[in-house]
Amino acid sequence: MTRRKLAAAGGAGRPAGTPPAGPADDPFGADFFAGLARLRRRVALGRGGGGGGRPGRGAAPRGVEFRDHRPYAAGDDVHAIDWSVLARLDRPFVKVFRDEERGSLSLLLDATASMGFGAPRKDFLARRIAAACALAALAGGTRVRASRGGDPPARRDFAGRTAAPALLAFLRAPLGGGGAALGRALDGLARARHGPLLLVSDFLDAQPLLASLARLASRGARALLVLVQARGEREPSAAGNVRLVDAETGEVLEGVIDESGAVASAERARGIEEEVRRFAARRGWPFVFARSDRPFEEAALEAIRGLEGLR
Amino acid sequence: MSFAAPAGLLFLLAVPLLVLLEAARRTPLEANVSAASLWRGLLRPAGAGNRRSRFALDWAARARVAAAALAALAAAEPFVAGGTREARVRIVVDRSASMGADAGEGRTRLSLAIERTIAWLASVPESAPVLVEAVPCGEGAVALDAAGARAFLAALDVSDAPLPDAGLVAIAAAAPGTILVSDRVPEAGAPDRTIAHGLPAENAGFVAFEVEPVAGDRVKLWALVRNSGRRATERALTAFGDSSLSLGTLVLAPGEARAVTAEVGVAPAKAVGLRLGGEDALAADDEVRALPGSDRVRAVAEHGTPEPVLRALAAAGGVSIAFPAERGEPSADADLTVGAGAAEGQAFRIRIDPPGGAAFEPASVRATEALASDLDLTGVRIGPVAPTAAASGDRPLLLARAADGVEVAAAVERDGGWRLLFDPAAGNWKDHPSFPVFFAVAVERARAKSARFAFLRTGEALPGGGCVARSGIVEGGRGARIAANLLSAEESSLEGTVTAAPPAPAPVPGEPTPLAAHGFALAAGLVVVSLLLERRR
Repeated sequence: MTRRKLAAAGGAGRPAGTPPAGPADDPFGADFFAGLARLRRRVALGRGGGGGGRPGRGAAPRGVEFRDHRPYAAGDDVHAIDWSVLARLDRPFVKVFRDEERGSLSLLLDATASMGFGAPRKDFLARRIAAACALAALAGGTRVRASRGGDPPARRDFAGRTAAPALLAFLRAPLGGGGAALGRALDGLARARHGPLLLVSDFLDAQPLLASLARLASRGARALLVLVQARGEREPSAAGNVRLVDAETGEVLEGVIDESGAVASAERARGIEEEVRRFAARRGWPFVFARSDRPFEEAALEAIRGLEGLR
Repeated sequence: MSFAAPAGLLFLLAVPLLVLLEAARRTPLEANVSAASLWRGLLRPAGAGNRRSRFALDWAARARVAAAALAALAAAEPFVAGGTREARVRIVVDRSASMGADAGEGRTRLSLAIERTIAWLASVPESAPVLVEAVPCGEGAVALDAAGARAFLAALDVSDAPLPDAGLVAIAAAAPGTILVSDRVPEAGAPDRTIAHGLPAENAGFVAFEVEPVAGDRVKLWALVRNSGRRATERALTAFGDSSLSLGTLVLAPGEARAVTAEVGVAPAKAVGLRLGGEDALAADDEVRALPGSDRVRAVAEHGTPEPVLRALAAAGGVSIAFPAERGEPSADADLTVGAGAAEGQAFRIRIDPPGGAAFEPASVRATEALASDLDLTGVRIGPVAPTAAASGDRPLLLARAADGVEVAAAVERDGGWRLLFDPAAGNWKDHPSFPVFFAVAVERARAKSARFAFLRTGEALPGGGCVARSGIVEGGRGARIAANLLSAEESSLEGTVTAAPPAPAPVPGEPTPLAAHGFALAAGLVVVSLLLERRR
């Protein structure tokens, strides 16, 4: 069995010990934006033809306690412009209200090493789903607090359409680190309340992660869980005599993969899906399953609609 | 498939050992996985498990094992039997003169033989290869199918050339199974034959012929006539040359040979010979003839021959010039002698003696006539030119104008020969157009006067290539015309035999196809494949 096939079974084909690299190809190439355009039309159709780019009413609720001003960014609701400030400073500023919490989205992208596997790679799909949801939020006037669960961890806030390039650059960062990094990033988000949470991950370190999510849920947080798996994890094949190395922990497994072993491994992967799905269902959270070998638009549409349901 | 060296199959015993070695050397495929948790506890220890999975080989190992098995098989020299193929038929047709003998009912021996050969070819499969050849004077063997062979045979015609028995023996020995179509049976190595028609026939013909020049323009003909038939024959005999001369009726008993002679005149470009009148079974030997003139005029240039004369003789063409070592020793068989000293009265020679006496410098030279080819060039000498040099009876050939303007004869025909009365290299005559013409005419005259009559026998090679298949005038060599005659005692004999046609040729085993090279090549290819597969791991 070649390295490519083994990558489909969960191995990336890289020699053991090689640190995971960034995306070999840009996940946000021309085909991504073409898919994004199609996605926007479908989202607009779903809303009854409403434009998907304008903030519209309800993006900044009225009558809520005023908190601050911030510079006007393209796409912001013009009704939120403080005209007196404009008259004084000759520059537009919009008012920021307390209830901005409902206008924000927390995004946590699993950027651990395990996401770098699959053909195509899981992180490719995960980045695209996360970017599609985040860009839709930005276009709707929603602030996005994006976090990368990896090594090193990162977190950054984005607002307005002009923040799209910076957001994509943030989501392009290379992979690294293990499940613990993801858990720490999740705990960090739990301390700061920033609207609904979008978690895109392969949930390979499911138990600690679900435990962190349970704590979030106990505080009233709402989350959309997106599970990304590779075809090789769902449909592995026998590879003969192998020496497997865990990309995150370095654990080594030696032996022979036969048909029964491959079937059992596939069952484990499906078991992860069932576990996360049940976890989400018990808490009334939306759940999206995505395979890395399928287009991102379906999963992204499902996620966007799930997020809208959460608001 | 069979094996030429079955012992090589023993190498196959190494294949199971190779499988064991491959199974033992299997190196694990190293790779990263997304999570060991997906595989923990699911890997079977290497070497455990059922027997089948224990010896499961990857494709690279399988390629190597297959290569070893193929190499072992190739070492046993496998081959595939060639089956059977249609036997090649070789037919050699004797088209020598005796095959032209009358076989009755308007057919010759050859036409009757061809009929029976074509009928026999019906028993040969259409796709069988047929090699057909006609001898003598054929163009070599031609490879055809049965239909093509029938067409080839139908187009064959008899020749006047002989085919000695030795030739038949050589043909019979050349390839076994040769079908020899002939009217004679070679004593050694008789091949299969079809058609040999040997009906006793009446035939009388020439078996020898010679020509000897005599005085003047006459030649003496000599020939040997033989009755090869089984009955007495009466044949009218005629000699021909510049005219025909009846020699009466020749009566020959069975097997009798008689010499005949005749003297005839020679006319330029006309053949001389003898002819038997009447008809018999074989017409090819009923006439013998020769043409006067030789291929080349033999000239001897004695000491002192002026160079312009030599150049003029060479420019005439067809002249071979020899230079004898002894001065004054003319060549006995030369057609031309140029130079000093010569005996009078030698026929068909031109002699140009060196000048003597007073020098003569002709201011100009004029030919009185066009130097016609019928001039007799017997005896030409060079001497002092005097106004009275031209004696009565001399026929002037060239006139020269002396310094005082008087024309005098510079060359005359005298006593049957040409005589130059001055040194041909002196003066300005050698620059005159008549100079090379004069000597070219002399050459032609010498050629016509030559005592040698050349002829070729039918069946002989022509000087310029090819074979003399027919008697008659043949253009050959440097355009010289030569006559070909039949002078073969063998061909004049019409004894023959009749044999039954051979059976149709049976299929023969085909050539086996060896496979060892293919096996080794495939094995090498599989080794390369295994190396490529190993690189991809």
